[in-house]
Amino acid sequence: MNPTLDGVPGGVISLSNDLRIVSANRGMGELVGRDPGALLGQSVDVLLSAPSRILFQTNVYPALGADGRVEEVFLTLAAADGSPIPVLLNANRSSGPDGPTYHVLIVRIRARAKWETDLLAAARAIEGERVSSQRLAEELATTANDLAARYAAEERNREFRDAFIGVISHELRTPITTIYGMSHVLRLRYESMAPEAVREHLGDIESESERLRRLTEDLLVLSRAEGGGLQVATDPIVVGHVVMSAVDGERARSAGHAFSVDIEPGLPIVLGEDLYLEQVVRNYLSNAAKYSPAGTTVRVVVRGEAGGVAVRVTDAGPGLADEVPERLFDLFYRAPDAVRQAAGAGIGLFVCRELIQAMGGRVWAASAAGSEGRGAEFGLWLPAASDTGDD
Amino acid sequence: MMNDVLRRHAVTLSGRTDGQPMLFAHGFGCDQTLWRFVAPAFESDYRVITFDYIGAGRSDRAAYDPDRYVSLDGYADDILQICRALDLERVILVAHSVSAVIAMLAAITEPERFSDLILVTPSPRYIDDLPDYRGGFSRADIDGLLEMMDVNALGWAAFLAPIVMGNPDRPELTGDLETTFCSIDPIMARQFAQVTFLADNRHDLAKVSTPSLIIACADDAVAPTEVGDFVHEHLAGSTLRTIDAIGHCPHVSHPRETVAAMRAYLAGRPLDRVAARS
Repeated sequence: MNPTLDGVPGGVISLSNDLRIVSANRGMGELVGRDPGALLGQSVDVLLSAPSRILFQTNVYPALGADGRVEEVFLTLAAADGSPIPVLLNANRSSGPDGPTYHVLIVRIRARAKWETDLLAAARAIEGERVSSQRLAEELATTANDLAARYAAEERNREFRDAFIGVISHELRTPITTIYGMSHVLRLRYESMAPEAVREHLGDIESESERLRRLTEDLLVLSRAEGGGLQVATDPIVVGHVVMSAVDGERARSAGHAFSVDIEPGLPIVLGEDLYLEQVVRNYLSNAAKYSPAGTTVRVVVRGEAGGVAVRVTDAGPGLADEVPERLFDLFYRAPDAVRQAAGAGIGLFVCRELIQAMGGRVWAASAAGSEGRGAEFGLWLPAASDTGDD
Repeated sequence: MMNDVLRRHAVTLSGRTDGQPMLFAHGFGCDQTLWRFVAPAFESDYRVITFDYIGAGRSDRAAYDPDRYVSLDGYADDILQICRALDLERVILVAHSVSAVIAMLAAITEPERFSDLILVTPSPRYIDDLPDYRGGFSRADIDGLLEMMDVNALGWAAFLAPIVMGNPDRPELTGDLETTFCSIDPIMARQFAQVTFLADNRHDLAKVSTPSLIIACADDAVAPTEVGDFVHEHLAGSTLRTIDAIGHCPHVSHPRETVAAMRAYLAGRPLDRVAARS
């Protein structure tokens, strides 16, 4: 090796095309603690630590082959005792008659290696902080969303409870007041009252009691539906019988209205709970009576339809005006006209829908131009037991 | 779609348009320019195709998706996408280093697409699994390599920043890159190294049905000769040619010998032209 290069403070080597060491200065020998002469003819791999061999063969050498030079590559040499020596490496390629030669300059780095390592650790710590902050932010966002959802649910519950208490206290108080008042009057004045008046008072007590009974039934269904636990039996039902039973009961109650019933013979059986179906039909019938003038007829038509049985109750009342029919079945909803016309809780039709849907059917409301005025039609449909598909 | 794939991978076509396709896949550490000492030798007989993996060379670095490249399967799918985009059949797939495993995975997925694999210094596992298998490295060595790449990336990233960021308004920069730089994005390189050097694909060797040539170097620090022997032993229908060379890149250090080994192997295989000529 050139004596000048022996004086250079650092390793200077040249490599043949197949990466054998052709020359090495004294500085190179000192770096790895070997005699530079003993390095000649050996593969460059003997100078390198195991990871550096990969880096050199896969990154440095191809770059030299492709570009002719590399600069400031950090890698570690292997000392004679195997410990890694951090160095920076510059290299270039020159062409000669025997193929290319690679000239390599290697400088040991101590302080720089330390601060680079520190810098790397700091960069990783920052990246770690960033990742954990991001995770924390995501967790916070999730928690905030959960809280918002829970708050909204609480809010809905509270609104429901308030509406419920408002409606119920009014709906319960009215019949109880009547029953209490009439009973009181009867107890005080029974002897002096005309039999007609007594009968009238007793009739009022009876009908208000019936109203309370029905409200209680609806509330029972409502509380089950709200709790998600509305269970309906799947017994075979003859719809015609249930409708006749409901109409007979309503005739006794609403003497001011006529009821006409038209039941198609040979209807299929449906599956459900007859008491619940009767509750629905009764609701329809009493609504029809409530909202139509005395002396008119409430029509009930039962037909086989779309693979099931449909029941339609039509009254001779004012009809549905500009209502959105579906809304009538919403809980606590009462049409503006209905509010003016009659008392009610806005629970009955909701309960009807819940019960019929629980039996696999559907409900609807529509205006129906009848012979005695515009009229409203309330309907329900239940699938046939044997064939639930279309006709 | 087709052009997307070709642009994303900076696919370069040369040679006979009616020739059997020869697709070159570069390894870890550089880009397609590394094939320039070997690929041109086949242009007179074959349709020559080179490309860059995403993150390397002139590939679309914005398309780099760390989730896609958590395993070598993402890279294998890149090769299949390029084959589909060019409608390549009976492909001779030439792959260096870790790309050899990627090539095997591609050939396992779509065996009918490839006629031959030419695997240059392959290794199915770099870490020793003693006493039965010597990959050449310990886990600590690989961790050391990754650490070293991180330190280099500190300066590397800054040094390469203008190129890495890309400059669509100045395409001449990209042209410069091609001729003057064996270029690879440090983030891609880091993940490529991690996926590659920690992988164990020994069990995949038995699934390869495509005939293959293994080119090994007599003194290769990255893929020692016993690794080449292991691949040869477990790869059915493989031919092993060892070049008397030091190093891991015979296609750079010994292109003549590499070309000769490939020619000798291909001479024993039917030269396959596409329909127009046959």
